[in-house]
Amino acid sequence: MSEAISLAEAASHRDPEVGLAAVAALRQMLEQLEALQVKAAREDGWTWERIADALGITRQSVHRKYASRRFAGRRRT
Amino acid sequence: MTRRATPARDPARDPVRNRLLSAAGTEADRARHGYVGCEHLLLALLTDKDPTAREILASQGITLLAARAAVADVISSGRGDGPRWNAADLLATLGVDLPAIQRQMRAEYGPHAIDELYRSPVGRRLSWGPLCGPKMTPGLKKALFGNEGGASFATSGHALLSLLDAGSPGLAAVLTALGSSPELLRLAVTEQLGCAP
Repeated sequence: MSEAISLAEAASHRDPEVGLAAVAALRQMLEQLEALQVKAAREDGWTWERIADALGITRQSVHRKYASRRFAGRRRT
Repeated sequence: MTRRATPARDPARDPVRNRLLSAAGTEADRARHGYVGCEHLLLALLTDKDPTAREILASQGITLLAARAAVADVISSGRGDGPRWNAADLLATLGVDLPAIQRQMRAEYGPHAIDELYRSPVGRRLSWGPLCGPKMTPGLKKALFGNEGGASFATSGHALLSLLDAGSPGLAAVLTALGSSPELLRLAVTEQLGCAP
């Protein structure tokens, strides 16, 4: 018997494999959307501090995640 | 005869490679698969204008229709080289409309926004995500670009041999479902091309 089942079938049976994979895809997409917004903000001249405030995270976190090495040692950019 | 033919200056500009890569992507899109892998390259070889690979596969009883069905079965049962389901369908189970988000993103940031993001300092640590579209598997990259420094394929039969060299578990499952195996197919290819197995 084939092991193949459709996504709709699996989702309708609350298959955790579908639920977890869907959440993983959502998380990956959110990372991409966040990066797009950060890039746009930097191009508009936003400081890392202002971006961090808008994202509700610390300046260090946003720096660690997105700043290139040449900015990493600076206190303010 | 050698197994590989003339060296290409730039593998990415090899017309046979580009044609096969494009056809593999079309096959993945057609089936709404979440990745482009060796399984799709097999289908691309069955639709290619150069009949060499298609004739070898036909001699093993492998046709396009049967291969498409086998690929669909292998991938939807989780035995393929990539994710079982595509990101758009997964996100739809959460009520998230990926195509609508992609349209909105292109309208706001331009058609090449994602490529530009990944090339920018902000995107350099960013992993693959659904906005990128289907991901190419390492096996497919190896099959198309990894052989002996990127030698060009003299015929689609040579591309089939490179595909078998990639050692893809998904492709092996597809060939088994079709009543063949990588080993049997390799013998048929090397015999047809007149090179060592």
